[in-house]
Amino acid sequence: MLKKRDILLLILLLVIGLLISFYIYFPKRQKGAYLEIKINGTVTETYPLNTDIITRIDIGKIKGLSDSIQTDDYNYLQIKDGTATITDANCKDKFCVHQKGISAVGESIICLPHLLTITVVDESEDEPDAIAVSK
Amino acid sequence: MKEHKNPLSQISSVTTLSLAVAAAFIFSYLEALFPFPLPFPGMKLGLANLVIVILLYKKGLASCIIVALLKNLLMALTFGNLFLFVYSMSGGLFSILFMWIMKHQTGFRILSVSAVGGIAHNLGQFLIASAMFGINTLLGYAPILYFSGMITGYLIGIISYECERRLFLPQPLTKSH
Repeated sequence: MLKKRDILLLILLLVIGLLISFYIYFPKRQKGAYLEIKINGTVTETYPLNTDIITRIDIGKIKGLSDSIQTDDYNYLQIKDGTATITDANCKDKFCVHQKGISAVGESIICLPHLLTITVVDESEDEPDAIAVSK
Repeated sequence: MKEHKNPLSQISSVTTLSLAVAAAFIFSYLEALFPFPLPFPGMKLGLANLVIVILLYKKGLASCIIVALLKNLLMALTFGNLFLFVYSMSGGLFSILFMWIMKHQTGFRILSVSAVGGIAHNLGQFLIASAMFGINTLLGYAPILYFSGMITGYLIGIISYECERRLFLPQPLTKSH
């Protein structure tokens, strides 16, 4: 059923597969420059990661998101030493609070009940001057 | 091509291909009815490819493409839509093309041919899906597709090997006697 070259092919296919996997799942960790706050898919704010801040994201203040969101819903975002975390939130599951801090490009924290996504990006689409202090 | 002038061999071809389409359709139908509990959505064994692999060895490239085309058309008309057709057809054609090259240009056994076919099947679907949704959204799924294609390809290869040895298609009668 098997010839020598079939076994070699099996090994080759495995090696190719592992190379693809490593290439995709272990990309070079690149420190991100900005943090993008997305609510329901639209970018609402962008913060530079090199400035330490603690800010409150008022999910409830945004109209027309979802019926399940209350007007006093919030997430607390902290940026410290280039790492962003959600320190507190009043969402049901608190998954966002328990997640590890993010610092590399492409990493993100998602708070599903509040439709909130924070993602580390390489460059900001906005001008760097026009951001940072929008509360 | 000469033998196709013989009406008996034409009947034989039509019958064989019809049975192959029916078998491939039934396999796809069963898989759609009872999906195997595999860990990733959309992953399936691809039993219909068993028909394609055996047909590649018994009849050749053209028959495979005809059967794949008809089977996918039937599946799309029965269960899905045009999108499903384009999706399965891209995978099917990629798979057949790679298997044909593997079979004719190299000395690999049916097992390896089927494994490469399995990977090529998912590669074709991946390319089409990437063209539609952008490659970045799907890149994380690529290794899963690769290995699932490889494993199912080998499984189908084992079954094909056993079937191919035992299956004898009716030989067309010749006019020589």
